Amino acid sequence: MRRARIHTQALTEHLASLCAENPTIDLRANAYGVGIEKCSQIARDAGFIAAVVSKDSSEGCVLSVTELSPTTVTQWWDNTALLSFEADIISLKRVGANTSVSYGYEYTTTAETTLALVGAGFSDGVPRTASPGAQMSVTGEVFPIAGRIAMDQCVLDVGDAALSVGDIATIWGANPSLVEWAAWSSRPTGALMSHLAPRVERQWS
Amino acid sequence: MELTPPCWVDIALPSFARNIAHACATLAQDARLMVAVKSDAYGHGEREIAATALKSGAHSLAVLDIDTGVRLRPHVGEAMMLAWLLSPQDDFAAAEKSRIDLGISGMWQLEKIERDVASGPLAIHLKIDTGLHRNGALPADWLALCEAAKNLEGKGVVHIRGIWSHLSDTSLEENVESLRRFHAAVAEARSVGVNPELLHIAASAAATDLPESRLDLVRVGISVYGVSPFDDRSAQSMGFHPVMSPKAFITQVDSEAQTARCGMGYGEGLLTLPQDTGWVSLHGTAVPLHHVDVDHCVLRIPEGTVVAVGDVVTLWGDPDNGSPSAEDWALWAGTIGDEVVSSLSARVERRVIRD
Repeated sequence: MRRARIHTQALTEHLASLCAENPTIDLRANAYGVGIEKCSQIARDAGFIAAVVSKDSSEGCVLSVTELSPTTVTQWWDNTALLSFEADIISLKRVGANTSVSYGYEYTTTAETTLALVGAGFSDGVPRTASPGAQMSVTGEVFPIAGRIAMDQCVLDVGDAALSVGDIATIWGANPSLVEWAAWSSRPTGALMSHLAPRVERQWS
Repeated sequence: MELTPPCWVDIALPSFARNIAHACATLAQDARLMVAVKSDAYGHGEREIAATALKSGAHSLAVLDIDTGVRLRPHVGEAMMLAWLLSPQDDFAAAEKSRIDLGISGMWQLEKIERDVASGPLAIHLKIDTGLHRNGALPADWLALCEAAKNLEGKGVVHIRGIWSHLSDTSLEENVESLRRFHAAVAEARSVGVNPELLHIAASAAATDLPESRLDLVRVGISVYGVSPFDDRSAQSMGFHPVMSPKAFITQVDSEAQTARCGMGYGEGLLTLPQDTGWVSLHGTAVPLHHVDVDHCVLRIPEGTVVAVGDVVTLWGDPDNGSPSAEDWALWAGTIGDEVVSSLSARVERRVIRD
């Protein structure tokens, strides 16, 4: 299970605050992965009158389409309250010290610990270049990624935390933030958002 | 001039078919070949790729999750498909209905099979952790998992078709050690009456460098898409040919600044690069990349090169045609070819080339 929960009210309020200055919004790349149809509706409700769109993702846009200009509102997605990228924990393992993890054995545990397998990887939109360094949170606590991020999974070193299979890991959202992931991966936030794969289910709440 | 769509991806099916035949002959040899078609066949388009793999000599498909297997079943006859990324929220009854084999690592999965499966038996492959520490049962938990699976087999709920693992590909020595642990786990399973038809552990890298790891079945992924799994060897040198080639129109030319734009950017799934890194091919001429933006790339036009709106550039493809390779892009982006090809957006049209 991988999902992107989009918080409609927070998005509407955030866009309304940005719209006060400029009535045109950057919705290229399918509204940066959020989805052009719903995102353009919310932008319209927030007061925007026009959008910049990618040529192949304008279908469903309810705003009038315009060209990019210096006054276009950009980077509106850089807000921790708008979207949570999440996946579930599919396995937990208690291992000893000196246990190596993932391809290339680039991470080795220093003490007895628990390894949590998260079912999302770089083909879902978790940038491979973010490890080492990147973190995710589970039940409010932040844990480091252990070893390389693989195509469809990655491992967290969760220490002695009492977690269960099925618990939800927040990849980015309130904590850690998309902006932190941009720093860890050396990729712009817009690229991280656009690379969220279609199989990451968009859930609007 | 109508330049819509501004970019697309050519998929050379004959090259893929040749790669499958080559993998059967060189990587699998006497073993069967399972082809990974997860992540939309590494961005190549799962339906065409899955059908072509089976027509070209592959035995089975690695689908990762149940949803992928369910989608592919109508297009692949009765070919074996293996799913192993299993979530407590998944519908195991759907796996039974679509005849998808499940890779089993933990007790909760066996318990869920017993609850969800209507008639059975559901084919399963028991997975032992031989050092990678992702999924797979730890050696300490292995015997109990085997006994529980055997018990379910006795009740007709499951059929234990395989025992398997994933190698870390850290070094030849580490893979040899993992293979030794694998054989120990198989012996332990047999001691409690588990009698699988298929033992499998090797992917592209180990099948190349450690022939005794091929066992009954070799699982291949990135190699058959014509991209190397190694840092120090090209796919071509191993006899594999690139399948994917993203292309884009030149959409703007600024002759004064000596720059041009092509109509593909990170919004279409290109990985971003440091400024002034890499190049694209314009009819075989290298044109340096200045910047990857959301819906375009900015190119620096070399002295003496004529570029016009409507020209087509190749972002990567077959180096024999003067293009960069997916491995080149991986090097520029500080990652591996798997991420380069699988990141391409599903919004970008795949144009399947059949001859």
